[in-house]
Amino acid sequence: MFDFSLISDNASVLLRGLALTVQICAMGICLSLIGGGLLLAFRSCLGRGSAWLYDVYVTVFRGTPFLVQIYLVYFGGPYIGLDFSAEVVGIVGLAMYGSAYFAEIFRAGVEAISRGQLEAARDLGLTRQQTLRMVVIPQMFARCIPPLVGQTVILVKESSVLSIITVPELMTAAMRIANESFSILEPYLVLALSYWALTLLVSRAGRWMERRYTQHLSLKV
Amino acid sequence: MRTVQVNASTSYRPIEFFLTAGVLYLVLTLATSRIGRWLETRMRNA
Repeated sequence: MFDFSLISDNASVLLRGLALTVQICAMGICLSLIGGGLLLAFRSCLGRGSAWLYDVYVTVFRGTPFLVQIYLVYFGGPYIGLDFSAEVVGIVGLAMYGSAYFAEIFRAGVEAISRGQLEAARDLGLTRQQTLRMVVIPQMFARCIPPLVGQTVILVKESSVLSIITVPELMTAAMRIANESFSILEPYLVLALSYWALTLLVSRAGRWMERRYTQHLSLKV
Repeated sequence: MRTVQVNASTSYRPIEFFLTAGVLYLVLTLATSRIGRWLETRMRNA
């Protein structure tokens, strides 16, 4: 039967793991958003060579598993002088992995804006910065919210992979409880419920943002 | 992945093995996306 006392006895371990998961995800996702924006700016502003480098980055980070990337940096890094803690590798790894996806989402959002709108903005006498600020970014942001939320949910779930490199996050906490108590059902069920609650929170926040940012636009995404 | 993990830890050469795994996964995903693109053009032309 389900033993509730096991969960209440280890509540502090689980809560500490949850807090670290939230911290790592928040930092990783914020850095991913910044990285994605910078990658797109790098691609758009600096000619052909930068587009090629952008393609290589996106192909490599989207084409290889997150686990391989983390292993390579955490276990391979010290051999080439990159000796970071597991938490730092986790946050940076999550940010680099996520920024490849976010950059592609931003690119799709920009390319979805019709050329006619940019020409109309130019005819109205808007400068390049004004066009970007008043025409491109609001529409791009509104279009990007649903895929951004989807990718954020994926990143939250991918953060459980960090338990492999000994980051003491939620997955590690549940594994520790399961190993110490020989009870599999309780800790992993609580673990699944915690991840579900986290992803539900992210998707609710995304829906709220979507409603808020699309109500002033004629565009309904 | 498991094979690579075992080899990397027994040989103490993580960079070589994980890099190889990365390249192999990359080739697999690229091949899958190429097949997808080929199917897409084939369906569109049909």
